[in-house]
Amino acid sequence: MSAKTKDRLATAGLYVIVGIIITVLAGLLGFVFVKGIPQLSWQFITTPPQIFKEGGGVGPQLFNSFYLLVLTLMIAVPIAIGAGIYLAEYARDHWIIRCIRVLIEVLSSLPSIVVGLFGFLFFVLYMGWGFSILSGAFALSLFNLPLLVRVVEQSICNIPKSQREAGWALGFSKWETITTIILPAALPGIVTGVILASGRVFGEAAALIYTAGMSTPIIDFTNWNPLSPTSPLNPFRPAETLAVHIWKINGEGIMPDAAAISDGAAALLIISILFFNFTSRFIGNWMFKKMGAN
Amino acid sequence: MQSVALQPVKMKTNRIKVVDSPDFPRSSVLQTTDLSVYYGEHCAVNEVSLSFPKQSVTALIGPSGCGKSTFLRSINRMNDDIDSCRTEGKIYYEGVDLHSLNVNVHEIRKQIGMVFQRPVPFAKSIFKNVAAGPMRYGVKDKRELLGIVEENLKKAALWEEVKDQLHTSALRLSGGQQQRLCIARALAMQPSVLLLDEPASALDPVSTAKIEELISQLKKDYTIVIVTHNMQQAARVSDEVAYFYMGRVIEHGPTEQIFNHPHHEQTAHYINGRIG
Amino acid sequence: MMAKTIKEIEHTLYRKNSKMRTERFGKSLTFLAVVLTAAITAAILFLVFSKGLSTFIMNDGSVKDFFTGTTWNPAEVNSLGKPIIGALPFIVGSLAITGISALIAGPLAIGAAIFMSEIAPNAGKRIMQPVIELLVGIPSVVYGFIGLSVVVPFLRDLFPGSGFGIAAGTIVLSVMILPTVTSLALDAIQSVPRSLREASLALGSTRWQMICKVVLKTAKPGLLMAIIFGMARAFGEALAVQMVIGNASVIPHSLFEPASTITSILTMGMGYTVMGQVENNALWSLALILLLMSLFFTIIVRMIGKGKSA
Ligand SMILES: Nc1ncnc2c1ncn2[C@@H]1O[C@H](COP(=O)(O)OP(=O)(O)O)[C@@H](O)[C@H]1O
Ligand SMILES: [Mg+2]
Repeated sequence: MSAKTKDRLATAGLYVIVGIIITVLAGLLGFVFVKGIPQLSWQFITTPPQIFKEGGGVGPQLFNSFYLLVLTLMIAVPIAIGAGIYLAEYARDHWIIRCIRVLIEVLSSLPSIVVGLFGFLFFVLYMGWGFSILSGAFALSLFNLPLLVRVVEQSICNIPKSQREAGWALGFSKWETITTIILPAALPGIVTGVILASGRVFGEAAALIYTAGMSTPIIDFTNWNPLSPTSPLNPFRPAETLAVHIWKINGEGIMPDAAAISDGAAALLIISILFFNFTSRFIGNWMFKKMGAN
Repeated sequence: MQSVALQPVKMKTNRIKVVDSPDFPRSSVLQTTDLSVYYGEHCAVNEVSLSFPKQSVTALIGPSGCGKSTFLRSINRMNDDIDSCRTEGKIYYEGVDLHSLNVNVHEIRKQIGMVFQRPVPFAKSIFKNVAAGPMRYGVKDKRELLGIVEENLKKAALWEEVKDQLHTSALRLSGGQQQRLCIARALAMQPSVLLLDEPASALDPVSTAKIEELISQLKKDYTIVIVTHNMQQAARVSDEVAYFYMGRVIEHGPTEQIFNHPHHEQTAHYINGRIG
Repeated sequence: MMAKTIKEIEHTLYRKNSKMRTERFGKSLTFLAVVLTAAITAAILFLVFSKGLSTFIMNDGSVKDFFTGTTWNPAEVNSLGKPIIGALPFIVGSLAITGISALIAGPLAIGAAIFMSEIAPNAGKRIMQPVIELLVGIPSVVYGFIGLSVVVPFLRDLFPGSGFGIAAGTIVLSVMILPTVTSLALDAIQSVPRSLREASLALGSTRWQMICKVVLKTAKPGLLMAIIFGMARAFGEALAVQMVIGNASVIPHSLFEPASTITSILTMGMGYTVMGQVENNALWSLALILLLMSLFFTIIVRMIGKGKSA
């Protein structure tokens, strides 16, 4: 076989491969949307699930997913910004720092179920928080910290050295330079990264089944006192998220329309992820523009 | 210029008795004695002794890599932040040894402003760029800040061009405007010395002319040290010239003398090579 | 001496301000955040190790049984009085699923990456790359759910059995890791310098020869890293696998019979055991295996990365 023929054959082969991949991936998205979107209705996304009969919704689950996301970001983002700043601005090449970097990398590679089990042991049992939003939020924070730290460190490192020197030359201390000049300049990158990580938090289930739990108590959406047990904001109540709900009803759902509910919930989940994806691009671009960088 | 240099310096703290620099000429606000700067083993500045008269412009000239930037950066101790960098010799500012233990390095940089070769505006509005320094030093009142911003933008000859867009991003300005903004930002700290490291080398001729004009204006209030590769520029704006070569000062004197009757052949070669 | 003291009091350069204090404060605060992140990892490692090893230390489990036994029934003891903790079926299940998924997804991903970078760079960059990056973010339960509603019935119709099993798990995981591996492989291929390609083409190679001899060869460490990343993800995936594998704790005789993986047994079991008892500790031993494997993958990736930069 001549080199020319081989070249043509190989090219054809690559087209086939790409064809297969596109079919599979398009089929996957198509499946979720075609089956799921007809299920979506205002009623579906606001009412609680039914256990024995049809017509239940995923209202509390959707709320739980967002609430958990907010709490997780509130815990993880400040720590990640601190750690990212230190690693980008202060850390020298020292064996302690190298060890720390290795540990952070190890954390980022741990399977989410392992982090979930740690959360179960530490937050649920040892701290005594039980299956609760708080336990879930902490577990997810641990799980996403390495990613967020990397995002922050990278965004800060992308700011040129000259900006720092300009700050120092005004008599700013390193810390003032970081907080008033570098961090604001790095913000678009950080925000983009955080929103992308939000998608990951939103879809995570394995780390949650043993921390935030697999049930949602009856909650009263008119009661916004975080200390009340029926309040949606109470951080000490168990909270099944959308992703966990999909998993649960596919394993043990006994409502007759379990399949339809999962279809709808899966579509909702993917739409949310798409939403995070586009917002991150949009907000990132908007912020860059606002700062006048081209 | 001569008359200025001969006047006794009105120092902010004129009761200082200068004990550790006996040969400190009273007319100079800034002086180095045997200043050497090393990057690791490499000696970038070699036993340089220069003094800078108050309210004058001194141009540092010399081929690339001869240590002009390094010299300039060691004056406001920017080189402290480079790990491999080591400094020997002394720098006196208003009679104070800048390397003595209790000197506050942030205070040094506040009083000795610096402008870099490439304009480095912060990714903030024009207003915030100029106000950043004063805000850090406790000016909170919005009206007062606006006054400071206006005053310094005027000093930097930028006010007329930007007064209607103070709150747009500084990154939208042209290169020349950005550089004048950086000068305004440095002036807002109320320094008494300005260090300019090739401030116009990245700019177009029109902007360059504006910056030169500005320097001549600022001379009335500030002591200016400017690094430049442009001999015409050095001749136009400076009162004194120091010619650097391989980390040493070969020749230092009034601009007119250096350009017309240099003592050293090498200086003449460099200047002529540059001009001709 | 006296003059000097006066001077220090008088000149503004000696003025103290709060900068030094805030500087120290900021540096310590951010350092604390770094230490916290590292300490969390250390705590997780410590806890999983101590819990996982206690099966063998406190409950007298046999390490040999754990890795070679085929019966998992930690509540009971065998004739030697040791708990029955044969984890081989799960370990085999996990390894099989991970290995086969990598075999399927690896070539497909590399093929797609070559296509996107060498054959149709325009369409690749503008259409495929964003879509692939988007697919990276799809939650694993969605993959599991689609596996359950499409792949399992499909396999049930084609092959004898229930459709649950290693085959179903492999298909789901291959599709799940495909976007990640493709995206990383694309990075690796695109980092091959243009000049190398041009030199090869200038010597008269066909495009395919150039791809084989230059691009794939130069990008090899990066491609390997991409596949290992995918394997690490597959090995650690819990729910998507658990939904389609059938969860039978035996070594299956074919790819189409129900089986188990380490993660699936962890997901199923942890809720039904009581902390501190041998059943529970045995599960933590499985978690320890999971953790060791993920460390192993990380080390390999690091080693390849080191070799690449050297
Ligand atoms: N950060 C640095 N680290 C090591 N060497 C440096 C550094 N900055 C400058 N140098 C070296 O010091 C010498 C003087 O550089 P510089 O002061 O920038 O020269 P100039 O401004 O006159 O062109 C050069 O040889 C340069 O390579
Ligand atoms: Mg220079």
